[in-house]
Amino acid sequence: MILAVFALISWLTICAFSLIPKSLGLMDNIILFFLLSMCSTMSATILYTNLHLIETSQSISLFLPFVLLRSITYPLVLLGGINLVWGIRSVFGKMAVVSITLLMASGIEALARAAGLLTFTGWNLAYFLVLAFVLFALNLGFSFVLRKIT
Amino acid sequence: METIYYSYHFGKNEIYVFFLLASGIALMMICRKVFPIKKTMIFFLYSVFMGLLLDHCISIPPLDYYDVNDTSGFDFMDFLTYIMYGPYGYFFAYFYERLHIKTKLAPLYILAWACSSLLAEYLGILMGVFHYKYGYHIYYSLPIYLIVLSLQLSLYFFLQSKKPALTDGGDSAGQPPVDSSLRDEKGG
Repeated sequence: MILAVFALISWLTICAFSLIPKSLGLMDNIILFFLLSMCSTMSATILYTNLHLIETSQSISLFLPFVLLRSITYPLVLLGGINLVWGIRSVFGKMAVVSITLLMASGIEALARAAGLLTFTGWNLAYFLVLAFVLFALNLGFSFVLRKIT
Repeated sequence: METIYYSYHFGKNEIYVFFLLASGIALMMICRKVFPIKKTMIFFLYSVFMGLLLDHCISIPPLDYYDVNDTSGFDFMDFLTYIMYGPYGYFFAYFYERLHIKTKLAPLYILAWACSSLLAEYLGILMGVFHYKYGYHIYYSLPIYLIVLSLQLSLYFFLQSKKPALTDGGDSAGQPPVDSSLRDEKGG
């Protein structure tokens, strides 16, 4: 059941990402997706295996949704936000997009915790928000560089 | 989760990773450029991405079938090990392009790369880069390589089929800029 719910969330994220107006080119989006997914995966592994700040479920049926979240859903949510930030001209609009993106990511993280995919052992949603913001800012900066490359 | 330590010193596994990484990057620099910079980045990052994604699925609990380098945790050498895959992912697309491989020969090309990847993995085991656990065998990696390489070739076909102006970033108003990647491809 939980696997189905998180697969649905991933699928909805992919659909939403396909439908939003993209301000970055196809190759830029592919490069940024790879980078965001790698950053998200590495940070999750470091938090889990090195810092022991989170614990993942030992059940495969709960581990698979965690992999989906870590490698597909979070990167696509952040990448969608980056595309929207480039498409909006007003500063207020950009700030609103960043806030909504981070809130969405945090909401999904809270859902993952409630569903038992993760157990926080020294980690909390505020830390997650900081981590998501750092990933977002780094990749937004890198998207600026990518737009300069022809 | 207890961290397992296989070695505390700079050893064969580090030398193996540094050698493959340095030689791969050096060869990338020497070889004639056949792709625009963004395609090069995609082919490079694809291998790093897939290596990291799959390793971080099957080499951490609950699956935990192997450890990479000196510890069961994640360290800087593990990160370099994933970067090491990058140049070879690039060469997979590079030689397909340079050797003008026909589509009907693509399965053989993939199989040849999968076999050489297995060989590199076997050497990695001998050098202490990979430490298998819970009955994992090297031949389990073959289907993974076949799938990953097939997907990469699909990505290659997809990118080569796109017109450069559509694949190379639009501006904030949604207008695609004038693109130079076609010139890069033609001019080398």
